[in-house]
Amino acid sequence: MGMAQWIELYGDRSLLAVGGAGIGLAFGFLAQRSRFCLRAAVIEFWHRRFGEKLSVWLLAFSAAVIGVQLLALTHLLDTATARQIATRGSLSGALAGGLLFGAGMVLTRGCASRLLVLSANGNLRALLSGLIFAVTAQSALSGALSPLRAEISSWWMVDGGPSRDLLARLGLGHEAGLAFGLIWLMAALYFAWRSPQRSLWMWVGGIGTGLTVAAAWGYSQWVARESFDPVQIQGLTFSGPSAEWLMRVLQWPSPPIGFEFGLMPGVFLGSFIGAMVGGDWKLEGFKDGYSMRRYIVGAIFMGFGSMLAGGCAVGAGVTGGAIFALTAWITLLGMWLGAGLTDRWIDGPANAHASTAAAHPTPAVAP
Amino acid sequence: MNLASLLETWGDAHVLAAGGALIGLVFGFMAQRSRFCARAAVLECCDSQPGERFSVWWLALGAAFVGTQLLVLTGALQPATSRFIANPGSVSGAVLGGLFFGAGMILTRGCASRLLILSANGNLRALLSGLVFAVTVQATMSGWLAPVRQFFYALWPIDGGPTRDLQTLTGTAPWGGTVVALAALATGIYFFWRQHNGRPWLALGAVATGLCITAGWGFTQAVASQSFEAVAITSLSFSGPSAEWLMRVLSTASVPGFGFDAGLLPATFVGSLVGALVGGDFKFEGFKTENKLGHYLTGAILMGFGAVLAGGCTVGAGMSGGAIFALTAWLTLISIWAGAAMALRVHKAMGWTI
Repeated sequence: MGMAQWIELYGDRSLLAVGGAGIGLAFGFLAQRSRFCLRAAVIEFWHRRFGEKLSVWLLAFSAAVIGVQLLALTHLLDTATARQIATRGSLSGALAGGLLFGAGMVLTRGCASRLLVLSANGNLRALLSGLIFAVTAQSALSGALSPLRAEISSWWMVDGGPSRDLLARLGLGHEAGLAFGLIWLMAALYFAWRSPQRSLWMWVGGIGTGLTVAAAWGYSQWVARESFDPVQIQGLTFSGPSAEWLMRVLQWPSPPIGFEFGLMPGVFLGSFIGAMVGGDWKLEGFKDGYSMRRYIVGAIFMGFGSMLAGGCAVGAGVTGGAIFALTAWITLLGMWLGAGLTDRWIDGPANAHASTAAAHPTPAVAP
Repeated sequence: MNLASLLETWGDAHVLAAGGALIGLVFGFMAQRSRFCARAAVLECCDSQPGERFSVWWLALGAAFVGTQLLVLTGALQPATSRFIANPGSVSGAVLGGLFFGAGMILTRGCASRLLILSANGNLRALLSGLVFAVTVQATMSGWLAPVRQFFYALWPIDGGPTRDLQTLTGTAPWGGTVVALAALATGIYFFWRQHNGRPWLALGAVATGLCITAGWGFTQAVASQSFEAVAITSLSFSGPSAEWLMRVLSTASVPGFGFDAGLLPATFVGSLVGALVGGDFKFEGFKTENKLGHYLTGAILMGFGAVLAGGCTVGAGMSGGAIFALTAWLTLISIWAGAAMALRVHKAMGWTI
């Protein structure tokens, strides 16, 4: 039976939801096992300790880029129809949102997807921060904070189409994108090889996590191609789905199901299984009042930042980065900068004697 | 300028919100200063050592009852038109909701109104628990928990009207309520006098806290009788308003109309903040090393679900509904105490710190 018949039988929305759940399950499991975390990677980078965390993130990122570009080259994916490229976007929103998100993820000690993964490992701090994240994201999307988001977005808009496509802007094709991905894979392999604590899970988990991003793009494109209804192609992201899930729990009638409906529980379950396999499950709460303030402020920054930028560390950073959306790259750059600055400013004094490298400013070069 | 012209100039919604804000401000300030807390009262009571917190709570309750019954006797309040009595209700909802709420407030170390007041004093535990409470309330009202609520509710529904009015049911109207209210106030004064003879300000704070309930009833009734539109009479309550504010923040598409509740919640916060600044109580506080986040979360969820099931929190059902002698409100109040007492026993049996 082919995709067309399944769509006829079950409808494209249920198929998207099932696919989202399956891909989410794989993402959750692999991300949990490899401890995939942008925050930790950024901090390693700024502290010039190019170790395991940075390797995992680079492995995932380059795997996603290579996977997506291969899909595009074989015409299994048309990146021009992605929301991150086809619709009108905001450069000011991308930069400001990225900076805010970066600052927030250092404060909360984990980006949006990491919070979801950690919640499933019994980390109640992450669960609560995730709730605050979802509330803020929803409020920025269509609630009390949405006028502020619209205002910041309106400062510097960019039209949809080729002007949002980095490859098109540079006059390059998907071959160049693939080459770019391969270069980063080399870098990732180099760092991974040098990393003292390398393990099998680092390799498998890192690359696998990246490939789930490509899988999401490919799967939704597959459904879109076979379906008679218009279907929006999409990759993995966590800001929109968490806001959608919050409203689903809170209000009747709930929004229609789709890829994102399956994604969130899938990731949670995948991470839970990962924790069970690895024996990582442990109930954890807050340690003291100071850290609570950090977590609350950080979650609010991340929620607002991700809606402003149009995606979280995975949604903009990896998913949008892999299709070379201009705004996603600006957001990713903003995240690295925001996280680095916040780390220096907030945690710098505490880490100064631990890592002398942090005392010297590093040039703002982000992958 | 009288109320009728105010209503004409500003509209019902704004006058109601402003009144709610004014009463909330006083309530927040007085409740913060007198450390008004139903949970602490239950705790002292169950330890058979009714002390400061119990006497404050009981005195506030007595003041609310007497004030409200005086309004009824003078004809300034027709409680039969309130949602507590006029609408269909549920005995099972009141009892089970009260039990859930009582157990929840022990786990979370404060009932709904207390969480709001503590949040304004820099207590981040209370702020987070309050958020979880509001989310649960909203989910129970019109989200995923609504079917569960309806199931419990349908176990023993009762009609609205005289069958929900305790005074009519017992055949003691119109004086029965007043007698009970006076008895409550008298015992409140007795407890207070025994505990802290010579602290008139604390007594004043407790009485003022209770009278805010009366003010809420009197004010909304005055608006209702002057307005040309249908205005539901109400008094202080914290479960519905917290969900209403949550939705106001979350989505501009489904913002509920402004009213008494919209003014009440932020004003209570401000009132408590002012109280904390005046008294020097403001202090950022988070979770201690004891690591009881799980208890707080469970408690907030139990309270949120229980409050909607029962139709109000300790203040909303217990005091506002109790003061007009609604059957379900009294059942809720008693069940909250029972639920809290049971949760306390479980706590002690498990060896958890309270």
